[in-house]
Amino acid sequence: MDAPVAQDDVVARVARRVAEVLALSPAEVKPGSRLMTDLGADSLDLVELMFLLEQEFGIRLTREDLSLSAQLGLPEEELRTGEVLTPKALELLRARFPAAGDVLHEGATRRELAALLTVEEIARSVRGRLASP
Amino acid sequence: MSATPLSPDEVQVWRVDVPSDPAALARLAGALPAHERAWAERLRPGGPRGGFVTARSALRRLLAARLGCAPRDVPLETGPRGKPELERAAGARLRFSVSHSGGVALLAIAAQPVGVDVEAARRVHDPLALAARFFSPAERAAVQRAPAAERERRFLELWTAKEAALKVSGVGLPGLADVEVTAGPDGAACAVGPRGHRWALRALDAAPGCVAAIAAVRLPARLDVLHANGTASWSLGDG
Repeated sequence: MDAPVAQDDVVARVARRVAEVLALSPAEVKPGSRLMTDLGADSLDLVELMFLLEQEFGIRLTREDLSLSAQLGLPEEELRTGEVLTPKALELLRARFPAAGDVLHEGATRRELAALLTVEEIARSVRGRLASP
Repeated sequence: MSATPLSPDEVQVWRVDVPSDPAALARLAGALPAHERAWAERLRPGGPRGGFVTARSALRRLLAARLGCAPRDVPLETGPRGKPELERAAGARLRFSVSHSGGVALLAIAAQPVGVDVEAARRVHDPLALAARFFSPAERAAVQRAPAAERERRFLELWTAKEAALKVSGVGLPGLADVEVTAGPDGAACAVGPRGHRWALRALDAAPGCVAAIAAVRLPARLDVLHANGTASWSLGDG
């Protein structure tokens, strides 16, 4: 059996792949870097990144792995009204991202959550898939 | 406020370049409403900030010219799908789509739902493998058929076409596997979505090195990309 992948190692390997996809120097990519707003990733970059991480870690990622709203595990009607997040969803997200008041404002939409996708969050999804493929 | 309607089949596409002069970009940002300026501040300067500011200010000026109001007063709100929309009363028949990449922003307006997507010249690390993972078998075959030197471009043509179709269908990126780019009975490119929904597609010659596409229910036979610099006033004419 392979040795378990160290937690910090996952973050470092994800960061390296992020730098590769976005043609940035590794020093520019920090664990807390937000992919879309800090690093300028677009949807094609995310898809390339997903693919490279699948290769690197031998896992299969799903759209839920890159979707913070899906990770809350709320039924759709408790998650959002139209695309606007419910107060309950916002409360859960604020507990998880205490420093993200800029994104988690009243009336925030599910789509805006993409702004919270950080290197660390992606590493968390990768670790989840490594633990239960 | 009275809207100048577009004719039912009219589709306009505008290209706006992100100003290279930071002072010019700051002027564009300064004319945005406070909440949009606040959002721009969160985006990386030299990265997505320039594209957002350029595209949003151009969108406001373009819609303002149609609506007969000041750009700052264009009633943009976040729609049920999380994208900016005009408040219903302001221009129910005025639909638009915006995309920016690198230093180029593209805006499409029409009287029908419309989707536009642009990708600046970029490297795609392994277009064949990416197509195998995320595209339909027929789309993958189209990338494979291209000579090796053209696969990257073929991939980007299909990618922008799918993105444009996903925008007009309203499902966005999560629906990537649900929309297939194909050819209709007349041989013209089209996208087929869930439940047999079909949209016309066209590649756009938007800017050197860029790959771009537009999708709508119907597209006019001729579709030119109009070019405005970041500070030009819009000359809309009659179409």
